[in-house]
Amino acid sequence: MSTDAARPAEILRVEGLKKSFPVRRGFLQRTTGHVRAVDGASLALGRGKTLGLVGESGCGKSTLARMILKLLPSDGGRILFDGSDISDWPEARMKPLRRRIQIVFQDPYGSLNPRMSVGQILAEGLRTVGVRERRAASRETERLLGLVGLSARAVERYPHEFSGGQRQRIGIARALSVGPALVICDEPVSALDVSIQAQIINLLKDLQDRLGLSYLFITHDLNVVGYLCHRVAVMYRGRIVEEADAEELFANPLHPYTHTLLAAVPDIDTPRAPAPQGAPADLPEERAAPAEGCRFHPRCPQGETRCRSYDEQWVRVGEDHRVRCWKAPVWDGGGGGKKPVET
Amino acid sequence: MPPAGLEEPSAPHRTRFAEFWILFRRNRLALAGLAVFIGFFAVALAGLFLTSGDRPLFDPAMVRLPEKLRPPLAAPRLDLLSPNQAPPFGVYLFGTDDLGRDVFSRMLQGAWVSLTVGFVAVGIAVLIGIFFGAIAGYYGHRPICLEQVLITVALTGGGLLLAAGRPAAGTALLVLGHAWLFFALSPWGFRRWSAPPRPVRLLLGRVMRVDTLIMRFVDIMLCFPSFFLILTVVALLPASIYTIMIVIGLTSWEGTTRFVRAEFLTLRELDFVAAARALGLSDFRIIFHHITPNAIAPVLVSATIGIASAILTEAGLSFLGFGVPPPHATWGNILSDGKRFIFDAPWLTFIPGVTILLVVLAFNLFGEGLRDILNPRLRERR
Repeated sequence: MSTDAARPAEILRVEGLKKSFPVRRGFLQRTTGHVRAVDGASLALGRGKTLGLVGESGCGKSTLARMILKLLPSDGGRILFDGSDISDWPEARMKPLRRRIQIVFQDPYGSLNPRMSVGQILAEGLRTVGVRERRAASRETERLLGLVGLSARAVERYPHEFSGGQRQRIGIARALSVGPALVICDEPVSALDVSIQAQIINLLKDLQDRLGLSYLFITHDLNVVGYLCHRVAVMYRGRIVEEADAEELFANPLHPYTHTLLAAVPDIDTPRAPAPQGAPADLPEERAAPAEGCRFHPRCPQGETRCRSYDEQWVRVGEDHRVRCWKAPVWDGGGGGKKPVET
Repeated sequence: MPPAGLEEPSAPHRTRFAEFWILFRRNRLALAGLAVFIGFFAVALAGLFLTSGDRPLFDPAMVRLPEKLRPPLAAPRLDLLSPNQAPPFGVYLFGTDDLGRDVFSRMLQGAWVSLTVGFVAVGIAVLIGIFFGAIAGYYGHRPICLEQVLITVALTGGGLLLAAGRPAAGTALLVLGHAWLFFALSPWGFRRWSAPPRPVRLLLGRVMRVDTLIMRFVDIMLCFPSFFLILTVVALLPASIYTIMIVIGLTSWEGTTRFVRAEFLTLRELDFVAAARALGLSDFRIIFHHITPNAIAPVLVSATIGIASAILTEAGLSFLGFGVPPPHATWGNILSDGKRFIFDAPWLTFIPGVTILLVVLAFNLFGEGLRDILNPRLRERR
């Protein structure tokens, strides 16, 4: 929400971020290979905007989120927060920055400490920003609870006394307690009832308007993306395969994987489309050793021989729309399709 | 569209303790265990006050030679005793021993010993156990390099040499160790070299992980039969109740370490710990404020059962004559003194034996009840 001209317009920029986990087998736990959970992911998030990060489970969304938070060390690539590269900052240097990046988790049960009352949970965050005095802390706690739509009487209660949606509100309040600029929402509504989902989404939207927050919104639910996000990045096997403004992406999806995702969205008005051909669920062994060329081609309905040697270069297909598929402009034809520019 | 009103918590307000108590009440045996536990606590506390001081009501050291080996509930023969030798309430509740001392008074005095040995020893064990378990669980994946091992060896070796009366060698080793430590932590340390030569690379090579170090040490400690370890240590150190507490504590922390480590390994990966780290809280606060309270349930169970085994160990040591020195009564040495008269005066062995059995059983039942309640998976079985 800053209007300071010296600051970059992007609050977060991720360039070529990588993380692989060793696969250990056998009695001696020898490393037999690596799972490339995040394999050169790049993103950019504008100040006060929401970037949706979409992809199937296991594609590396949460790993990416944890790396941005520096909860997990990255193997390579850069993380620029507010213009400064924080990827190799040690923990001591990260401390003051921690309060500017916060996270809301998926699981409303595991994300709150069961032995702490709501007041204590929120006080932990307030301590780190220097609100230690008891009366100030309780005033601040009350304000935070009001902000997320909970009664001040929640202060003395323990997490197990709340419903899933209410717990998620507490999780949001905890994230807000340190006054962040960027909130990473790691599937914050996918564990909730549909009716509760809408409430939480509305709450997040309302908080963004009021506090000027930027969201990195991780989800696999495209309906939520359409409602909340300004921009969308589609992730497949550790890499962003398509990135565009939300409306553009829905109107003119270019990567076959994006098509598959959109086809999977249930729509009450249209009869359910048959499952797209040639897109079986992907196999664990493939994950350890990704296919040559485009990593989607074994599942791709439009796969061709050239896909095997395609090195997944970005193809720019619009002003703010790029996709990692060599077929994109040819296959598209109308909409935002422009002259292909290899970058 | 924000929600119209502020939401209230949906479940009824019931503290964890209230919930715990409701479940606990259903477990009859555990309840009986708790009752004996509380009774034992009260008796031991009362015993402390009633048997100490200048003129205690129950004097465990009062020798009445004419009245030796009287059976339980026998009335004192007042014509043989001076007035101040008469037992309180005019009855030998548990009889008298071979010196005519009132067994009830001696049991009272011994109860306090058993209680403090149990609690202090287990307290020491639990503190050590939580400390090592927390480190192994939270920092276990971190490597230890050769340099760190050598520095530790130099420092402890120097200390040992000093203690062994070799001041020159000890001081030299300590100075070397400290100099190396400061060098390693300084900006010029090997760790910061960009292209280290081969020997330096060797020094920085990983030897093992923190987890390996701690947990293998636990395995080694568990290899010794702990009772004989205690016997050895007690034989070397001056006999006193405090030595026994400390030695029992120092040899029974391994179980707690394993429990705490296992809990930490699970809890460390949970989102609320990630959230605490994202808030920028210190490791100390995360470990002791966020994780430990959640890891305490199995520790509580093993501590309760540990108290029983500490009481048993102390009784065993006293029985063998390595325990609390004689004028002071403990259940173990009452039992031991009584064994010579087992056919003439069976109460001398029977009473302390049954009491130890009851108290140990009560602690075990209480501990198992706690385990059933605190472990949700076991809770469903009943």
